Amino acid sequence: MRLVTQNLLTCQVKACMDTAATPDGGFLSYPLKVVPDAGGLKQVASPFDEGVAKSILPRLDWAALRKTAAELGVAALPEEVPAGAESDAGFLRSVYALVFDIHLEEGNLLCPHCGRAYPVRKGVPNMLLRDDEM
Amino acid sequence: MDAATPQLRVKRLRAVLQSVRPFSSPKIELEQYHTAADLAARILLLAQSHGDVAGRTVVDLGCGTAMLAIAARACGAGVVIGVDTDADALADAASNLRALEMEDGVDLVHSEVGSFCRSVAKRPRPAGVHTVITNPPFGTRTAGADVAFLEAAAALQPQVIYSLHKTSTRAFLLGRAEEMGYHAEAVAEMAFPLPKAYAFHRKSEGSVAVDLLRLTREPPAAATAAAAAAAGE
Ligand SMILES: [Zn+2]
Repeated sequence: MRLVTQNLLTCQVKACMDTAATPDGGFLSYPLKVVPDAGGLKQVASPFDEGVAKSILPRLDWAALRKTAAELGVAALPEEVPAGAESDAGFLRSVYALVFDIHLEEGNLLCPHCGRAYPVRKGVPNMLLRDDEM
Repeated sequence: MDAATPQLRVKRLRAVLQSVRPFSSPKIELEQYHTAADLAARILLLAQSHGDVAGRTVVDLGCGTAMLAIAARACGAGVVIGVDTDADALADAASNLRALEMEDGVDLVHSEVGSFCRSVAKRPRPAGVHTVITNPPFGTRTAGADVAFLEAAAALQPQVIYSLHKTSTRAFLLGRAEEMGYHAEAVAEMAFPLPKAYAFHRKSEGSVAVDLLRLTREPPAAATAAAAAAAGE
């Protein structure tokens, strides 16, 4: 699983979802923290596609990506998407590599609100809930 | 994609999809039937003709063996995510992706489909997904399973949803889609081959008439007018 997918996922535990929204528009259970096992991150260089980079940029939750990149120590992103980013090839390339080239193969996704750990095995996050979490 | 003729591209897509292996242990209660390669090709080529695949973020809900996810990726989708509740199906999907060297271009998520969609939609900025493509259960084993998939897809708030349903449910589902805030139309009719275990009739094996429904967040006429206005500026 790549960061482009992690950027979509939130905690599914019902009690957590019900209490995650804050009055100022925040959402406490998002993004899920990427906690790789030792050697659990895989780096695969994918061919850069400028069209995809441009189309993905407005669809990313930038604040969540920035937080995840900082937690992993893989990139220090600016607080906001810089003006003119769509036509800045260097910037597009760096975002593209960040969201498409880093694969979480083994580890956990950790909810920052309720602490629920979603295990990731062979690159597939297991988001299934127990009955008492639904 | 490349400069090959449309006919050649279709041929190549079919060849790729014909190599996708079916469920190794299909579960009747989940209505896990393999989407035939030529059906998957037709669905994706149709979606492609609407501009809903190349470069887009595409989610395959109830991806099973990943047939539709693979078809989307083969048609140039930028981001492809397959979601399924069944670990065995996901193992089949992963092995199909590896066989086609697509494992780094398609992400799989093990999740109940409804819960996935509703949790993703809870995010502060939910507009992450452009296209949902799904071959849901037809609702013959569990009544309402087909509608539940459509509701889940709509909860994700994509621009467009492609979903396969029994033709006999068309009027009902078009109505339900409107209630979910989508304009729906049946854009293709197909015969869906079903193995013996899922036969709806006494015939031992056969096919069922299905519609490909296309759901959009605004009526096509309005979207076309808006596009024309934007182009005229
Ligand atoms: Zn949580």
